[in-house]
Amino acid sequence: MLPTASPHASPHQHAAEPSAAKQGLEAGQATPPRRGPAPRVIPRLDIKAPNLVKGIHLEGLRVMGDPAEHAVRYYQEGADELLYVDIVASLYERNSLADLVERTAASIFVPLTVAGGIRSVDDIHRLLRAGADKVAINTAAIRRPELLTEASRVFGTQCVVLSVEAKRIGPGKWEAFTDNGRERTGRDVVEWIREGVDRGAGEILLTSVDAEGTRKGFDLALIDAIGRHVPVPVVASGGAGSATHVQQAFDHGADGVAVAALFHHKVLGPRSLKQSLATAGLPVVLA
Amino acid sequence: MSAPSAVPSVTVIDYGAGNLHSVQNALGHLGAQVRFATEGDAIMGADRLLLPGVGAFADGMAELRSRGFVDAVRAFAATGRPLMGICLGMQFLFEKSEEFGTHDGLSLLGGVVKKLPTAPGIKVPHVGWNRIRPRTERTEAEHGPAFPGGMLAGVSPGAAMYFVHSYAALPTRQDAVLAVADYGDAEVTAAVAQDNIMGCQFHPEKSGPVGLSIIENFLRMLPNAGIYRLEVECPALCRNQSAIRCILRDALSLDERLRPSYTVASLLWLPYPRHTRHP
Repeated sequence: MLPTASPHASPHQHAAEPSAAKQGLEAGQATPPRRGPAPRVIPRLDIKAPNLVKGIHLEGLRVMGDPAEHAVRYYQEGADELLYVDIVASLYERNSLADLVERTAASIFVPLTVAGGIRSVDDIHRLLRAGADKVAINTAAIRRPELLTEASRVFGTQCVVLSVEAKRIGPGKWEAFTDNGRERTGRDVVEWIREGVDRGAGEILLTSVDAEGTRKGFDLALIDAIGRHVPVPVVASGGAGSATHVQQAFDHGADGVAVAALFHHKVLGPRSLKQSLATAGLPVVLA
Repeated sequence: MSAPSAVPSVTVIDYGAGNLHSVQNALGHLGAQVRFATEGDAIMGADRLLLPGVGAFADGMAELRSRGFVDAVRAFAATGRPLMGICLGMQFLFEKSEEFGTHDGLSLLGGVVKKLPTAPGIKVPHVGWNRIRPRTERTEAEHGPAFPGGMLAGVSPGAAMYFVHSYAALPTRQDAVLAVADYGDAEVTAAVAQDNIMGCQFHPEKSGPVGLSIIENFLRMLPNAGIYRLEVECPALCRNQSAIRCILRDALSLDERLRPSYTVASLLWLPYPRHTRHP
């Protein structure tokens, strides 16, 4: 379960191996400096109502405090976007974050993505009305991929994020999981993401179950396999333990990076992280 | 606040689509008095008009039309009072959009809305924080290190704004383009302004403190004095929408350098009794 248990799971190994070529990047197609959106730093708030919690590998939750308070602080500290995840929603089959969204949206003026237990167009409608800008869908999309199409037709693809919990099952191979990395789906992550984008997902929230909560770095091979191979933005989540880790995720093709423990434990804040990234040469937005 | 009233008021067009909450939250945060208009008749008394938008062009225009907003917004714009479109709301201001076929817009600004060009490594929709800058042709010597006043007053070139869109406006008049954003090799129209009509492709209500300052600029804008005065002083005339629109169309079609004085002058020479139903 720990990332070091697998021979390919250490982030330092991923960084060292020329995995991009193996993963199918067209030879000679070096990525030119992109003129476009800035790399996004996104505080991720896992919520077990009414608390902000943080686990390891999405398990073993620890209460971190009031989510609204954290969210507003992260906005004020220069977060590019916020991600609220109701981590028990799938168990109870409902998302309980509409209240939190409504309360915080009046003082947070950056995009807000809500995840967890979203099963229908009506659920999405409710969350958008409360003030969310995007919704991220995992379990319901696995069960009924048509939901991605229906949602993107009604709300636009930009609103529909496909949330994928990826667990390494072999070298260069990941399986999509649901319910915080507990339930197998039998779906290959790369294939599933390709299908999800075809069906209307406008963004990918890519969580590495192996790296999540470890603060030992992102699963960079996973980001390599997805980031530059899909025509929609990819937000990498799980494993951020330092500014260097976050920088690596961007270097490997992430368009955004979700950060939880590092912020919740006040090791870094959004602004100090972005300042480090800017010093390292990344064109992040410093407000 | 330079506005005569301490609390600026704004009317937001609600055509049943889009996420009005974000806009409402931002306006509320800035202390504005917000009214929502669900039909065209409800906007004529507005001090300023905000046209938000999320979704598809054709559906949005159909909704605007069915609620009587199309003529009403045009008539409102002709009064000289500030009108701002956001995202799809800005795209509505143009003549046509090529999103899923060709569809007519409000034609308040010349130009068409076209799909963003795709290129290797460029993802569409254009989502995320992107930097805005004046057009290259506008040299720093011409406008100084900052954007010209109006909607972008106080915003530094290079400030990043939050974009979410797959289509972008190509205005006919280049001088209407206040700001662009670089996306691959394309220059995306980010903000436009022509007289009292303005818009931004990005979401100022989702662009942090700088975005809020843009909305605040809009809230501080006052009506084009000449036209507004006429409306205040000659309400009877202004109720005659077709007459005033003809006059304004003539006035507004003039060379813009002549326009302000001509507009005021022509209105003051109108052959209508100024005392009619004076308030």
